[in-house]
Amino acid sequence: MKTMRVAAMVLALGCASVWAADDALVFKTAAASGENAAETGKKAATELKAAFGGAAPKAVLVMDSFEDVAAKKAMLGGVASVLPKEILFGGASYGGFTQRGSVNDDGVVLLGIGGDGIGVEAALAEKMGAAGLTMEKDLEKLTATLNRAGEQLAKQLPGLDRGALMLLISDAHSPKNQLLLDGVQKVAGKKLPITGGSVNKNAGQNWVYFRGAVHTDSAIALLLTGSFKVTQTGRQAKTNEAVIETAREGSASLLKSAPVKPFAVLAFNCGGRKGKLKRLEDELEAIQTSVGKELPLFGTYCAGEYGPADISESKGDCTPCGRGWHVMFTVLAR
Amino acid sequence: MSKTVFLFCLAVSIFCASQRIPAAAEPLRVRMENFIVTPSTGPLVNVHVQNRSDRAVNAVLRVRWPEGWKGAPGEQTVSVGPNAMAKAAFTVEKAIDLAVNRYAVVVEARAGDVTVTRTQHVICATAPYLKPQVDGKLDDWKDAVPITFATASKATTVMTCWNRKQFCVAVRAEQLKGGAVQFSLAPEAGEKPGRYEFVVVAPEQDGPAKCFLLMRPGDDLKLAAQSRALEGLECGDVQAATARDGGAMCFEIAVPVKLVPELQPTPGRPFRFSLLVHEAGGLRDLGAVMNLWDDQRHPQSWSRWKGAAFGPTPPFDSNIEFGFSSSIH
Repeated sequence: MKTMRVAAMVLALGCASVWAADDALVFKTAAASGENAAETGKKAATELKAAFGGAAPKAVLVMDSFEDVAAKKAMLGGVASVLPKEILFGGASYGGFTQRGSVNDDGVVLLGIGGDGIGVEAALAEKMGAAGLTMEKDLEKLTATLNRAGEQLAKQLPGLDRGALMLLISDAHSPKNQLLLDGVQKVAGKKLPITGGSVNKNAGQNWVYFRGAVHTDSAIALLLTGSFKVTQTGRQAKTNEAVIETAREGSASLLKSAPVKPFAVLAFNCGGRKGKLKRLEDELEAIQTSVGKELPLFGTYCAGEYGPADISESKGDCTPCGRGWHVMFTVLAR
Repeated sequence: MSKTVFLFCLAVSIFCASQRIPAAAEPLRVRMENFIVTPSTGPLVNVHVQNRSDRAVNAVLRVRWPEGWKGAPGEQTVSVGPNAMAKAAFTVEKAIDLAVNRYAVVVEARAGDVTVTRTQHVICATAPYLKPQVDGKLDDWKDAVPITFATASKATTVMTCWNRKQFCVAVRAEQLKGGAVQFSLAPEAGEKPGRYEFVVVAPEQDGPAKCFLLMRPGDDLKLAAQSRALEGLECGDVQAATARDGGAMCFEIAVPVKLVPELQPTPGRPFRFSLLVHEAGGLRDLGAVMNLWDDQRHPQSWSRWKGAAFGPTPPFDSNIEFGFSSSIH
């Protein structure tokens, strides 16, 4: 664990930074649940807009847990009735959480990114050609396809060399998510902090969102630039007790190694970890014991996660990987 | 019966015979549980060790994974009391899924100068998210994870899946006319002990079939021993249909999730399941392919009913580890 902490600190120190004014970086979250997808999307978006006050978010990450594409489109429509659809990105999830509570089925969690001190570039890799291919039968083709899609994503993003953090959302699931990431890292290198997740892979639910529209067999990337520091860690767990403990310990360890003024915590988490929880709220409550209840917290349950892997062969290595069964924590700090 | 099916049944019969545990011969015995999500997604899997001696032991457990796989840790030591069981969890870190759904794993337990080694063909017992149409035709189950086993050279394939509204079961039983499917379903750890148990009896013609509810969590287990008439136990909420396909009988069953609320299906969540096919000549027992020890046959593990094909030896226990998953893709 000490090794991981030291490595995270090294990564943090490695990020070039200039201290920014407090109002230059704005990360806000909102969430809502309900059977009416459109109303739920609208409710969450209204809450997010209010949290931003007079300012406008530059991008909104939308992660929802509605069941079919019709409901997902309705949810996006509800969000877009309040916020411009051009700034809506994200995908299908298994639920999520903010400081205000956990979201299970039929809900949406939003992360609004804004402020003068932050830049956002977005890219879409559509029709990747990976749908239906298996690691067992099609490894070579799958590798080439997802590598190519990852490269395509990264090449679309201007200012990659100035990037502070990439958010990657893909319809390429663990363990295929590593193949997509390999492509991204061929262009972006392995030092750029990356987090994100693979969308829900239940049949008929594997959708990513780009500028308010739904896409399947696709991936999106958001590149954030600005004067802030990023620290990351990943924790793997496969039992109820371990999920809760790694959520508490991982977030505590990361916050301890982060610079003094953290302003947001992201937790791209595994749907399988969620499935092990006897009580859904236990994981959020464990994180709150470490990060408190004030810091903006965006959590979403995915089908594969991007961030530093917590496996026997890579303890302490903060190079972003594509894995499953992880919670990938990212702390953004001034 | 096709040549392929015959050869498969022969191989499975030989394999099952080779897995019999010698009666009371070894002081230790081991079993790896089923994978409850596909191996490529890196599941945790428990290895059980039973100490059949009168002295406590420290058992060192090791797993030899299929070629190309990686697991962790390399070994684990567990303390096992006299005539007691213990388990240790191993993580699959790298694996490849196989369509045949059998993974050759060697499990070893060492305590003092006693070493026990067991080769298992571990099954992936998982219910992915699917929305099949319940009509007895199984063509919409291609994204399920089939488990195939043989009973007297007759193949049976069992599949499970879930969606927000239903838990579904499909059975394709070769060389069967009519018959019935009985299955047991329970959360891994519910507030009330026990299980749900259903039986679906094939009608004379293809089409909708009747389902009967034999047991619920909290019911007195003594009920299981009573050979009850099915009349009055109908469960209209369960959708079931059968269809003949060549020489095979296909069953398709959908249990509303609201009828089994403790299950709370979501990817990664474990549950307990097993299934029997009743036919004139006896039973086809899904438990036979789950690597259970031969004495894991509790008489109260399955409910008796009039018309059932139970024999003098109870079937394998019904609470076998399964899990909900998202997709095989």
